[in-house]
Amino acid sequence: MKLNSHTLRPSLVAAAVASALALCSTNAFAAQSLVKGVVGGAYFAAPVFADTAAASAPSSTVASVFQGAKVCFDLNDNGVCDATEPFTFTGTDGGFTLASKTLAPLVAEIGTGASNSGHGVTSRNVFRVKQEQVAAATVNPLLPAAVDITPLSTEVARAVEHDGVAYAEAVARLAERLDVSPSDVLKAPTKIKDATELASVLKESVIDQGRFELAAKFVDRGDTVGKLRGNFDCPNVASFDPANAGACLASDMATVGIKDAQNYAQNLEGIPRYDYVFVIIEENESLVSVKNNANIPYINGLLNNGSQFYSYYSTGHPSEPNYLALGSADDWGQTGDEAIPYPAITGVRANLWNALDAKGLSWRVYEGSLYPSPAGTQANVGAASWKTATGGLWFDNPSNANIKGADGSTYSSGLRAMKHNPASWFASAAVQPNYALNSRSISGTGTDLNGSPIPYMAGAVPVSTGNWDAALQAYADANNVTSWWTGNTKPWTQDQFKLDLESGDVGNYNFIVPDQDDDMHNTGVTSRADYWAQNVIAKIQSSSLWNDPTKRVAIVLTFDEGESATTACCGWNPQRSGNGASQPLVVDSNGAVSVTSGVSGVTAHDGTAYTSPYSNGNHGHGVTMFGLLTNQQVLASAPHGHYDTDYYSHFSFVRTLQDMFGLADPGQPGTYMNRSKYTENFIQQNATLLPEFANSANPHFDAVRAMNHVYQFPANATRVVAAGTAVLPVTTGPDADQVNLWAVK
Amino acid sequence: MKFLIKAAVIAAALGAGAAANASTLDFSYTFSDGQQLTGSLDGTLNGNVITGISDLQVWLNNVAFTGGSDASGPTSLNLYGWDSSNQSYDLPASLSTIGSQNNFIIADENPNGSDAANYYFTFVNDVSGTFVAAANFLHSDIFSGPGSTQAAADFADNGSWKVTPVPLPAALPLLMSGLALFGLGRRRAAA
Repeated sequence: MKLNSHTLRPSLVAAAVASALALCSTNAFAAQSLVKGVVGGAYFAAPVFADTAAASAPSSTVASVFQGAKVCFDLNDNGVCDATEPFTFTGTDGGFTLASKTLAPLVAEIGTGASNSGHGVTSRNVFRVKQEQVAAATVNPLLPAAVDITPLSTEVARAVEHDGVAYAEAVARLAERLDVSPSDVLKAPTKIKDATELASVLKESVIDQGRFELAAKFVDRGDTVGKLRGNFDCPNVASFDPANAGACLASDMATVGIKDAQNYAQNLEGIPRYDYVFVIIEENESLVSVKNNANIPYINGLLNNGSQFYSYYSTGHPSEPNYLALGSADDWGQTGDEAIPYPAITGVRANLWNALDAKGLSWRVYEGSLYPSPAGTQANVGAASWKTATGGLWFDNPSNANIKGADGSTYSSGLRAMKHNPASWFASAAVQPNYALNSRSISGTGTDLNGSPIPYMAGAVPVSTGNWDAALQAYADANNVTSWWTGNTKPWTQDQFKLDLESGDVGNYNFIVPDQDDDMHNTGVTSRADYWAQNVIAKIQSSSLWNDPTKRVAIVLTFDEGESATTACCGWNPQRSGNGASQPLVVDSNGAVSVTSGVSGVTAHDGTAYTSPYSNGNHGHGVTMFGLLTNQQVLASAPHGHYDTDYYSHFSFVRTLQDMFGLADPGQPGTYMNRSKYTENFIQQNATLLPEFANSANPHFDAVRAMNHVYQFPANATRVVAAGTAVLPVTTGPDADQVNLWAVK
Repeated sequence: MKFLIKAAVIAAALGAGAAANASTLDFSYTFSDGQQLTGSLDGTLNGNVITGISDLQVWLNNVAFTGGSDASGPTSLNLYGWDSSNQSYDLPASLSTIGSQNNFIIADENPNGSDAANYYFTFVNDVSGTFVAAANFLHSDIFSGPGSTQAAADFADNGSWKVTPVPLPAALPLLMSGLALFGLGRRRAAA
């Protein structure tokens, strides 16, 4: 059900609440309550990741009910079924009937003895219902009220308690965000008839169930407030900075109850959840070459209108290691460009693409100047075009000579660099059934979603770097090429990105790769890249997603590598010696840390040996730009115009994304992928296994942390600056403020 | 012949009088989850409607609605009729042998008051739908779980509502005497 994106629709819910409250005012048995419903949600069968398609399997989700869950009226509203509170257990149908002499919230405690539509529950969870929901469902206190306890009812409860919104507004906003009618959004998924609404509710249920399962762990482990909000000054916090020990607030040492924990679970390490993130990756420019450069006024305006991270480090050189790092928080020892075949990273190594799939979230890689394959398909993984050491020839039957630009020049398939698609590196991602579905086209030309033309370029542009989008589309039209991401059911379009924005079919995470004429690689800091970025961002900003304040949308503009310095930070390998002992660390489910083999020595997909020594990688290439603009800054009251000078890297960004999408547990280092788990505390506790960090001059600089702006530099801190390189602004001591640049309010 | 007619009228009147004025009726409803509500009352059955109701007794899963009290002392069960026009429960109330015609609550507190009932049974056909519910806050059982009050609810009439007139012990002698008079009259006529 598609709803008006600008208009919140509290009417139905508000009317129900008002009606119920009016009835309650008759004092019929005071606020006595009898509720009947089910504890419902989703059963998510996780995907199976492997190096071959035959051994892989996609995820699946079905509506479910929880049997054996303890349901109670939470008379004291503490989120727990206390011994004195009326309770019952759900039956085989997930149903319950419960009465109380007092109108109160509901709690469902789903223990490990319960089951999810017959599947064992392996980790405790808690769902809740606000008292207002019970009241809204109550026609008369003497009549039973239909109330289901679900992940979404829990999210509404959390929003009321922590986002400063009234119950009716919280319901309306959730319904709006999910494009579901308010009357359906709080129903158990098993009761939703509309297939479109059901799909949306199921996806959200999977996400929320995962987050609230994490919240129960926070409570059961006794995690402290300081730990959950990522206060660096508190002991046992992942990024604990011993230099500031003693500054931890007493309130930060308190443990949390389930209600607060559920809010922390939606804001892991202080990073709020976003629904859609668009990351545009430019090429090879440092912060100083971009900042205030008159050739790119749009990008600089974007930076100034949004927020900026001034100490964001690339993690390798040349490009390829950085794209690997952006896709997995590790470059796996890669120090060259396209020196190995794709997908060379075998052995099911942790990566962002699999991690998103594993949580029921979607992703896309949008690439500019994609070649419209006459065969209508990507080459199968392992085909000759995948094996080429020079990359680029990713598609069946490329025949570049047939495609001419408006200026008469011939298209070069090298415009689209396979090395810039970080999903293509990982066998476990590339052989997944959704890989072709997720690899789509994007154009830097045309109009925005409102039909308004957007300029493509200005000034002199080299003849060899024409606008290929029109030429490629003409070729596709002439040859009746179909698009592989639709299963060849629709004609090829050179700008699927635009269509996806119109239909809302973009991914939760969208990695946007311009071609090498549009990303500054071939053209430098010129207006061409500025116009391309403007064009793409204009499409995003004219979409209903962006203009719906209930949906959180972020645009990141950054570069693969920076200032030509051999400096990085934040989980990098500062030793640079090729120390053979420096290998990836892994943490098992029991918390045991061990050294695992690097990719070095692992046989690549086509049988070629991966020869890059792991310890040669992750060395860095200096500071670059990282700009952030969100629709919450534009449409709501989220802070903007702030900057953060704490040190971050691609590894930090991947850690931040894991927090943002709920992919990891801050209390368990092993749940963060690869080097993004290398926090100060982790490095300190595993020093013997991490010789590359021995004798670190600045543990804070060297360690990974989420990009949450929590860390405050001591007043006398001396900024670590890459040798011989100016960085703006040069800062000592705390920033002007410690505003979290991702904040939504 | 004249006497025979008179005797028949007397017997019929006595029998009918026993059913209309002093009849006891059993009622029951089986909730969709298997919980059972049973009860009895004294009342007058005219067609499908029972009026003049008194001596209400109710059991949920064989547990009686008894033992309730409030600040004023022990409570007793009453039948209230649901008035959807002003959203209130009123006395006197009737009860129907047809579930879809019911609009009542049996409770030990006035529903319009501020005291919470200790137990109640609701059968309402409102513009919002049909609701059947029962709760006994003084007891728990296998249906409600060890820590919960007894509670049962349906959001639709499942058709299990039954009302059964039961001959009251006090009416039987009257009926028998009427029949005896009729028999005596027949014997005299035959003689």
